[in-house]
Amino acid sequence: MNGITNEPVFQPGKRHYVLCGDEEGLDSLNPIKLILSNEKMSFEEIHLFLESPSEVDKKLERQKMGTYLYVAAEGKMLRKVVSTAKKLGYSSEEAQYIRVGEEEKRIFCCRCYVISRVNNTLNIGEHINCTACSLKLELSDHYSPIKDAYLGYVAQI
Amino acid sequence: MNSENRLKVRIEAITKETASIKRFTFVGTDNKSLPPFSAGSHIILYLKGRGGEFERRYSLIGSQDSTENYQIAVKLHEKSSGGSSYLHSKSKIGDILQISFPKNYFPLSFHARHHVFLAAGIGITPFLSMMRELKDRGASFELHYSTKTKEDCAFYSYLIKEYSQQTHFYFTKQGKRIETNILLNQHIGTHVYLCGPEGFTSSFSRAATSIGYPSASFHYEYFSPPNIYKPRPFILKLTNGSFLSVPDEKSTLDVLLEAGYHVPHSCKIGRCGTCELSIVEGEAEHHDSFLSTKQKDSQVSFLPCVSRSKTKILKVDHS
Repeated sequence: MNGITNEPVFQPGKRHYVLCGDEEGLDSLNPIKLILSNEKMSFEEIHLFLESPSEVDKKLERQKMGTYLYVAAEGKMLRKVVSTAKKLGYSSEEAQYIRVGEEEKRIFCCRCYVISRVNNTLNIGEHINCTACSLKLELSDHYSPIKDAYLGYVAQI
Repeated sequence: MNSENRLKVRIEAITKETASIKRFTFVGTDNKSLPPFSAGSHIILYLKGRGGEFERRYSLIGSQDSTENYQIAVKLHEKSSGGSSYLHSKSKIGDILQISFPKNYFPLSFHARHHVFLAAGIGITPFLSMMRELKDRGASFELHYSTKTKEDCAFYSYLIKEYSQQTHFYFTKQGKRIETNILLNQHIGTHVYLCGPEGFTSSFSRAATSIGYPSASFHYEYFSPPNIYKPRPFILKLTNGSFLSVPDEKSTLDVLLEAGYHVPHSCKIGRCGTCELSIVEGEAEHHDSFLSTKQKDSQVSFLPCVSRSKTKILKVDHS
């Protein structure tokens, strides 16, 4: 997933911080929380495992300019929050997304446009069959942030 | 710019908007439609002065849907260097002028959930087309417009009529000053657009930075190259072995063009990056708003339309 990192990095110069994540995700944000607490900076937490999706959306929506958002969660949940945040206008300068745990790779079929999920160990240049049309696909390094998937080339005609 | 890249227009109407601001309506000389433009676009007027031809940039304020005419608004500056005094005192209906095709270095953000326009004086002009587009789209926006008095406020009646809900006026001589705290309560997804004198834009820019606005959410309009404090002369060395002297009163780009070198260029105010040249030796003194801080620090390239040299000799890749 584009703009996704494995570890959070503290972004100074903001007036308010939002730490949003599932249980494991919020644990991974502890180093950031420690900095914010030590520096007595304004922050709040959003617990994805306790709050309803509409509550999460409302909390993200009501933030003011000058806010910095950290989202840390497993892949599926992370993608959902990233999508909401982007719709609300959070830019790459206002948010950081951290994937927790192993993630499947997504591969976009160049023929039928269906996205297949593949094992994370599949490397660029290796082959899989599209789950929809069975075309043999080669995993490319061409990543689409819109589709959140790698393009699968025709591997065999 | 080659003259074939210009349009000929006739002044069809001159309307007094305030004591010091006039609105000019241009139509094509061949009765054909003029090229369409996007919200925030400007044109360059090529005017004749005692020192030869000079250029002035003005925002297009008319409807971008209508290609029958172009409209600009021009404030008569007390210290006019030619443009506004020519248009205010010498130009008349029927005059033929040369203009550029519309250019847009001040577009609306496609990502914004809300747009905030901050204008001072004649800085209102680019926002007229932008607000029209947003209203048509049903998008969310607000305008904060500062002038000395209501009488100095161009397009006052129009703004009241079209955007009464979105417009906030500040008449400084009547004790109502525009404050930077406008920026404090804006929600995530807001983009801010600034147009006005340097003091106005820099105070809002400082406030935005201190609040934590990302630079990508802040947009400026410039109509002239930056004022460079004490520009120093230097030698420009080209990779073909030629040396050109860049005096303090001329831009690096002008020196290259006058010497007959072909350098693609467009905005001449350090915004578009068209004239970018690679640096081979020496260090550039960057004055543009196109390259990122990282790119400027790397000293890999510079924009000769506004940037100069820190070193006595600057060698660039051009032959």
